[in-house]
Amino acid sequence: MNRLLLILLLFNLNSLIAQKGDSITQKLYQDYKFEKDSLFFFNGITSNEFSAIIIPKKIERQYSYHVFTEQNDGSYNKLLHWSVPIKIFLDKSIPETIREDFKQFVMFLPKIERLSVSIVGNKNDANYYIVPVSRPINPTEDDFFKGITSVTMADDSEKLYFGRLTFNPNQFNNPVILMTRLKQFFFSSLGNFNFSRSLNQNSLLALNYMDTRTISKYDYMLLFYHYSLYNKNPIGYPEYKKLMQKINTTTFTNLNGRINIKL
Amino acid sequence: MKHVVTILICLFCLNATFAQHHNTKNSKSNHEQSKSYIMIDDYREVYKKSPDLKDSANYMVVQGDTLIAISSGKKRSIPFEYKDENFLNIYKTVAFNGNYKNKDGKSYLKYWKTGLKIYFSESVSSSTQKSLKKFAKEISEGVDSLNISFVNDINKANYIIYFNGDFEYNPNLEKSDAEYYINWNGKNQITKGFIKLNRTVYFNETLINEKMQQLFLESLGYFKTTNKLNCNSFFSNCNDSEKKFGALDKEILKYHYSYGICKGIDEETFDSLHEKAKNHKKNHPEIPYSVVHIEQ
Repeated sequence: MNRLLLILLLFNLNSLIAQKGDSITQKLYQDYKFEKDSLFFFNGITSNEFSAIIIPKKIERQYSYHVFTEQNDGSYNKLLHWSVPIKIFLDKSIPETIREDFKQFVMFLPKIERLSVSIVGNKNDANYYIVPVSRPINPTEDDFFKGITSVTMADDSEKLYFGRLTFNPNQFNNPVILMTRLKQFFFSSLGNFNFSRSLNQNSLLALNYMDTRTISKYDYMLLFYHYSLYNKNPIGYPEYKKLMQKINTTTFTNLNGRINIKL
Repeated sequence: MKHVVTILICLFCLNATFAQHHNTKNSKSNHEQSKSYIMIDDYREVYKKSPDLKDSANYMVVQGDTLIAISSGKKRSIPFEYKDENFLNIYKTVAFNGNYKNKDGKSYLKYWKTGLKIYFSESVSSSTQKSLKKFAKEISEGVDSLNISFVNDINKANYIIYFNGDFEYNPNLEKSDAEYYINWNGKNQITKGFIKLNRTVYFNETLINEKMQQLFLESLGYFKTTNKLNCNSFFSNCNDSEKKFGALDKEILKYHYSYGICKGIDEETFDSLHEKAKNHKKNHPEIPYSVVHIEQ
């Protein structure tokens, strides 16, 4: 018996419209689970909602100077935060006095929520490496930047996850200046903060910083506000402006705690 | 002798309707015949030529449509792999990498058609090699058409992993601290791969191994990381927690290399094929739906 079953499906592919799922597009950084071969997302954060604290208006401008840099195309970078504990390895070739001075500095860094800094003895455990090099560093730039440089790596969510601070000891006539610069460049790398010429000389971000062996109130506030603006979905300059505008035009009952703001 | 000739509903991976005949032998028959037919318009699209209609054995006419016989050896029929909308959306986010678009302005799925044969440059430590080998084994286990092997002879390799200071195997990576580079052909099949890392920047084995794994996985399909997934997924764009090749990561890779979907296609075609399959399931749940891969 010959049986012919013929089913032809005729259709116009172009007339079909792809269905767009909605749950996946609304939230960021979601967890997932599989149930009966179907994928479900849960938790996650809303893309236009940010967590912040109230930053006093007088600090706001200076803060934005330190954290935002205009790019070649006129846009600005987003806020950069360390998302993992910083574990520093000081290369064994660094003289003991310099190592000790830096260790003391790290030990007395203020406790800031979401920021953790420690020194480790094993290079393999580190995500921050401080190492001397013999090649000249920035020989033609401003004196302040000569002989030392830091590089940090960020993922696509603008979270820093490792760094490297290199210096050429031969470019420093005085070990005290080297110790000072190491602290300054390390502090800057905690948020890729910009240095400034117009700051009081007790700030680590001042080009004429005078090492007082303590963290100034200004530096503490900067670090505190910066890590208060830590959001998994990073804040860009436009969002920052909108956030500050909203904060300044809203009456909050809780002036000290964190606030969630929807833009 | 009993002949059952069935035409199944299929889609084949060059966007055409396909019909398949199975001539099933009875117990007395001592040889098996199998012929597959394709619509004449689709034949022209796939083979870029007109069929030979001089010999009636090469075609048949069914309800006014001309179906052209093709060699059964050139096709492979696999049940269509259905997935839910959530999965398809996340898969498309990862697999259609908009960082590179063809001249037509579209992104296409990219995949390794041939197996990967990986060569490590001499400066790559044995522990780093071991770490990547372990990772490669973990991620490729149970993945249909993804074959990864390691070779000691560079002439037999199609994938090279090297460090800064080694011979510069790919000039495009000359200034890179950590990057992969892949080449693909006109069918969006990846043919060569390179990973280069700078050990001065990635200063310890942990950082090197983690970055190498990430780059390697991305190079398996020109995958793009996303902010839709939490950081522990390799397909997430953040790094604040330890990466684990979890169930979803595995499912994405398995699906990408599954024979149950079409490969090398653009997003619009992908959506259309899935819509077609979904409609078929809704309208004819009793009739199997297949993907037919045709070798050209």
